[in-house]
Amino acid sequence: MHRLLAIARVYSLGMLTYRTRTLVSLLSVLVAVVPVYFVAAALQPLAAKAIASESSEYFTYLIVGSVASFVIAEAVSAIPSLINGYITSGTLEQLLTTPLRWPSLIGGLLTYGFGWVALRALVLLVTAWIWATSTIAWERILEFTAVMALLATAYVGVGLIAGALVLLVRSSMFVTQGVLTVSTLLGTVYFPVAVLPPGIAPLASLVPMTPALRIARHLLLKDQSVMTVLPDVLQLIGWAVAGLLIGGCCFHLALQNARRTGTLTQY
Amino acid sequence: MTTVSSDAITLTGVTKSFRADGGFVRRLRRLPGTEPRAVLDAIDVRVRRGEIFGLVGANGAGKTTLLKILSTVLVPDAGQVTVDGIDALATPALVRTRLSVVPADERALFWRVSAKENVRLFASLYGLRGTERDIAVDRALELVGLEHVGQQQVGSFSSGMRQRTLIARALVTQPPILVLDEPTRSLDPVAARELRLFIRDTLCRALGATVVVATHSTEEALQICDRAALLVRGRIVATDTLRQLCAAVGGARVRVRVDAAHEARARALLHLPTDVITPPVDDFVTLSATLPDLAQAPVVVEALVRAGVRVAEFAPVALSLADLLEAAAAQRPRDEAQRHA
Repeated sequence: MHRLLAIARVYSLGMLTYRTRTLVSLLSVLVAVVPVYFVAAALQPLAAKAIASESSEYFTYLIVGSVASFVIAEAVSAIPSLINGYITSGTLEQLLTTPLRWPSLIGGLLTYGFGWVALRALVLLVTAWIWATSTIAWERILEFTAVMALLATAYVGVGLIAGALVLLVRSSMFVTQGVLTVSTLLGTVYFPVAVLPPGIAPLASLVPMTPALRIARHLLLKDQSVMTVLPDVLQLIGWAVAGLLIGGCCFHLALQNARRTGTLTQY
Repeated sequence: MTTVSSDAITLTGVTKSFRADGGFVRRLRRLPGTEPRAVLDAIDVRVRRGEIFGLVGANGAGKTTLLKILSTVLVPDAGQVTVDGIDALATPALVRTRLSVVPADERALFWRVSAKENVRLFASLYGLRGTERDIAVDRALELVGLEHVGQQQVGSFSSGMRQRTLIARALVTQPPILVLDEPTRSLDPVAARELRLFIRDTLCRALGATVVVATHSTEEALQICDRAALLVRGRIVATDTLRQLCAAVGGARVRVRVDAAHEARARALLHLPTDVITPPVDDFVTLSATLPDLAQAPVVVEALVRAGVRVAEFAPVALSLADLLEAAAAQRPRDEAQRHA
């Protein structure tokens, strides 16, 4: 844990020196809410019936979907991107000459990213709370955070697989883009499963995003307990465990292979 | 497995090949040019405790690959590696606690944070905590002369200062073995000399560390290394003190100044091309020749004098790395031919 925190500290200190970029990024979240609000308001009459089981307002439905999108984008993209950069600079190889183990390295590097996601998510939710006509159940924010953490864990598995591919062939082979696209389309970020064509609707259950968003919306927008969506909670836990195990194994094997083939550093 | 040994590092029969570039499909179809390329070939090295050992060779000779194997980031195809008595292939994690690496590339630092934070990170990674860590960080920065700029971002440093930060980072836990990959590569001559003195006098003599330095500079190796291995295309062609190494591989290079009138005769006796005429200076010409051994010098001088050649100067000349590598490269095919014969 000390090593994980040491990596998190130095990486965060480095990232925090980009003050203007940090500020602009935060402001852009606020600005992005404006068109979402008006588009959601325009579509509210059409969407109301389809989303009724999860939210009474399409705007808050989209905001919760956007928060989950932030989470999975960080979980899937950060690892391959950082590994790629660290291979190029020689930092990865240098860190691996120390007693540091790869789970601590990955955990440390992800700490800042997820902290940043949490801040942006908070800005989004507060903005939605101010603008929305419906309420947000703030008393369930800890449960909501736990659900997002499970969602992140499930998708970190994909990030680890993409990172493993970078170690092997210096490319994530479109795994990152593919998973993000499929998850966004089928995972009920913008629309519920009910509006998907019957042929592909069953595929939505194969995406960890689907149960996660169903739980998240029940918690925050319907103010219902997790017990009401227990099957979804169990399914999400399953995804998280499977993602971490499979992703972890893939990354470990890829690292062993990179030590044999010499691909830990390539300029 | 830990064994008691007087050697800090032993490499026995270490061999490494890398797959060639050319794409996955080309390799799958085993097209020409995609065969694995041998980078290290049966390397045997013993580094004694407390010495500075040089790996001398041209670019691509395999020096960095060898250092990567030592630092456990690369696994050899065959052979055995022991670091501080620990089997590096069986327990690489343990080796990482005994050895620190100073890479050739400064980009391995975190440029957006201070030198102190960079060193602090490594102290934490090696398990130091609290006050003990802070003291170690300050001491490491002081050792490399960066204590006054420790709070500055590494990105604002000169190359020399970054190199010192890398060394401070490696020194923070006072490891028994230090591995430096071309430490003076990006330094100006004055900074390079200072760093060499620091490696020799502080790291090795004062702190008692065993130091392995990869370099393509004979000047560097001559200045700081107790012993060196000459690496040519993945093979060690000689291991000794550098002066003996020069003599062993390159023979004895001598400068001979003879009277211009007998140049052709002198050339013939020195086994030099006889169809070349050197412009004389004050009726004398200067020739450069290589003797199999410097002990033969009196015999050669006597032969020249007997042949009527007036000899004004006969002096040994130190070999440059280029000479050394050229001689070694020429020697290797001869050795191979003899082996096959």
